[in-house]
Amino acid sequence: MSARAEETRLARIAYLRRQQPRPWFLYLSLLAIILAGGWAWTAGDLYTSVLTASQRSANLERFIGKLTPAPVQASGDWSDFRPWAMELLVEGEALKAVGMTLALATAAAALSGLFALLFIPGAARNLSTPRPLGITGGRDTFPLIWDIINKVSRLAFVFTRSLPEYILGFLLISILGPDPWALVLALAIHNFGILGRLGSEVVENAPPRPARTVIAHGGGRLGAYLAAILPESFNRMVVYFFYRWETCVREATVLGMLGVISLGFLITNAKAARSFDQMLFFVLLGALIVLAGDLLSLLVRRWLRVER
Amino acid sequence: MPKTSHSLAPTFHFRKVECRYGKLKALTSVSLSVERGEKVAIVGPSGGGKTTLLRLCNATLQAHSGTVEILGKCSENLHPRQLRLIRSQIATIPQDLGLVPNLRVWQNIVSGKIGKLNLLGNLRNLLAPSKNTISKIHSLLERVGIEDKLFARTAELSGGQQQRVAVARALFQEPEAILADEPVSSVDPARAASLVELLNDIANERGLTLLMSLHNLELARNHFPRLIGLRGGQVHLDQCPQQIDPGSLEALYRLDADEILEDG
Amino acid sequence: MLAGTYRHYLGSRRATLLAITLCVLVSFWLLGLNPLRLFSGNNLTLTRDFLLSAFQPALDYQKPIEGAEPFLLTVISTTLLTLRFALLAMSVAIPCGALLALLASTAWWPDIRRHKMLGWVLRPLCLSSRIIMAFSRSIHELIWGLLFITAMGLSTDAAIIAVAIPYSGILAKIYSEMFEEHSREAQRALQAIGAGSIVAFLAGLLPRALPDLITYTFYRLECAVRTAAVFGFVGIETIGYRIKLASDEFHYREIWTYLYVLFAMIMVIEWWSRALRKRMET
Ligand SMILES: Nc1ncnc2c1ncn2[C@@H]1O[C@H](COP(=O)(O)OP(=O)(O)OP(=O)(O)O)[C@@H](O)[C@H]1O
Ligand SMILES: [Mg+2]
Repeated sequence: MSARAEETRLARIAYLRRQQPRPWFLYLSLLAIILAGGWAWTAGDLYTSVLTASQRSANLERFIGKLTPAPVQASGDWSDFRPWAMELLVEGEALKAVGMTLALATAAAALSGLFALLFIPGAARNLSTPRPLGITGGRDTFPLIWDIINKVSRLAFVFTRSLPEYILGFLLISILGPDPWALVLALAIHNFGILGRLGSEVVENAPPRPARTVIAHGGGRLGAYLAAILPESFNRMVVYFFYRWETCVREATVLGMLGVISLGFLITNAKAARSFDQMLFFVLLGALIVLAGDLLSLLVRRWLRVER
Repeated sequence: MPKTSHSLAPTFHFRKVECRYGKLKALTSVSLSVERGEKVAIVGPSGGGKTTLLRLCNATLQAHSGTVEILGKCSENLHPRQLRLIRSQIATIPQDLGLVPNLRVWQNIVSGKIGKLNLLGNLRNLLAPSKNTISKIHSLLERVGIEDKLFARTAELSGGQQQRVAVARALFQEPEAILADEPVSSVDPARAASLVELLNDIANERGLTLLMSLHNLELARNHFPRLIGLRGGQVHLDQCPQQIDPGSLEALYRLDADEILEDG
Repeated sequence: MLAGTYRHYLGSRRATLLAITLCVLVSFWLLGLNPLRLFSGNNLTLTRDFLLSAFQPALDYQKPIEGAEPFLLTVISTTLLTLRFALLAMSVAIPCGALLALLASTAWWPDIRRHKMLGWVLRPLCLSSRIIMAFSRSIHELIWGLLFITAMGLSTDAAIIAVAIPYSGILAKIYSEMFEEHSREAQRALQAIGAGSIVAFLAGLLPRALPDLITYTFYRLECAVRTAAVFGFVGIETIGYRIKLASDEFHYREIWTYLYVLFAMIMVIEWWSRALRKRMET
């Protein structure tokens, strides 16, 4: 090939390259992430510890020494483990705590799901517009209303999502007193935001044909939502429900630290009493429940044949 | 190995090949030979074994009995490295095209050489290609008629344009042969014809072997000097289109009794 | 045939709903069926105070403190500390999670029917990383924190590691699911033209999964900010710590300031994630 042809080709390539907009936003984001990471690592300690290294290792030694169950440590025989564990489960109220943990999670997931379902049609961009699903809804006296409904429900979702369960639980208990329902409310408020957002994405991505048919036959937005979109995306919604239930179980184990009987409560008590063997037992029990919850959620997903 | 004997060997040589998926026989006793530079269309009903035949040709599938020779090399029991070497000499355009939609067009094309380079070479090509490479890609895109799309995101291209990207990737590979499995089943008739023509022209220019499975008999008859008809895993016909009589074509595509029942 | 599957489908739906309802009723019963006792007597006025304070978040201490740092400065430094904690935890969790995810996924494996020896190495690695993954995320970050604190006292490293352990597990789980879920057509096409399995994974699958990976990582960063705030309750002076102090004094307006700050941080992260995703997809 002649040098001249090659030159025009290179010029053409340079031209094409200039035509394509540069992804400045990506570059800047990358730079920002690197800078933020560097800042985080170089800006000093998060917490200035008062302990010296030797105190620390002494602590660690004592902690590890007390991890084996007390009767086993005394007799050196692991057959003493069973009665000890049984006693903790029944008389130490661990079973009750497990039940409470699961009940907290279930009640919270159900409440948040129910309320999210009420807000979802408002937050879904394809429903709360003057032209639901691309079909004109006739002349609206006040078309802006849909925009407002949309913005408000979205804001409600983001705001509730941004409040961590633990802080909500703390605030609610300090206001309402130590009642399990305060914790249910805390879990439900946070998960309302998450389920609402996931649900409105499901509604936005649902196949529009059936819903359009409902509207074309004179139904309203709510009719389309209840009769076409919800049945259509039932499986996906249930999968999300179980996904959040799974995380609720995980979260409920720690919310007990705020002073209501659940595993977290037993863990903090055991820590305060310096019975680290019991503490470890409760921690592992909690892990077991979370794993069981994971498994159940996985089985439901399989059963409904939807991937998350 | 002396170069001459290598170049004399047929591109693909099947001897009594049988291939099964579990118990189901996808190909039985297939013997055929495709010479260098030959252009062949593979036709036949669904489930006839076209895809299976093509997969044997790039050694992504192993025959259960009989021998498959690719470029003079028996494809059985090869060391993985030799296997990759053979595959890197055969370009494959799968039906789904196998492009990465969120990469740029040039990045998809540059991965044509992926089997010929090592990890570092590939990374360099994908992330910081040389001027020569880009210029080469531009010339290939010019050949397939979409040179303006060099830096475009692949997902933004139409289906027909994406097919051309896949062709350019095959060309960048500098292969000995091109395999294409139903490359035109998802575009309109005019675009289908122009793509088949393009591939034919390219094969002629560069003396490449071209093996294409087609559902469109018309296209196959108009553009290919040789047709292989597969039905029930057997070679039903292997002729040039002028010699084929209508009766045998009808027999190739005839519905079996059980298929008719299933439909009704 | 068709009617049969349809009926089965309906049945499974009804059964799911029924089972969920039943479980919910049992939980309500376990919790005591009178949620309304929450809002009795004095609680009601407290609740009203708290909610009304939402409309007037504090810009200064509700009760001035002699010689203390100005309120807004405290807010800013608390926010920065919270953010820094989240970033530190994530910068440990992301590489660990990615490594675990690679070990736990089969997407980049060579054909182990051909490489028998490799299979014997890869399979146990995969299994053990899956076990590590499940175990590390089944214990809540606060409990990890509690364990570390009781074992050797609170320190920067202990806090970071306590969050990074479960976060690596969760990231690894989601990453590996994404590797398995994404369509393999490009990867297969590259293998058909002679690419090794690792190269085909890097060039064919990874770019495809990248937008999803990044979106999820940002969501995790959002969670990390919340977790960092909660770690205020174990002694690190993040937002949670300030909220706890303010709550002890019933300074509800100060609490709302911090809640709004948290909200703003989450909004910014979400906006950023959305903007990135939009630019990577279209
Ligand atoms: N991965 C597989 N596992 C099991 N059976 C398969 C597999 N792939 C193909 N088959 C079977 O092998 C036979 C031949 O299939 P092949 O894909 O080669 O047909 P084809 O001619 O390409 O059909 P089409 O035109 O529909 O693509 C069919 O009966 C098919 O069901
Ligand atoms: Mg096929």
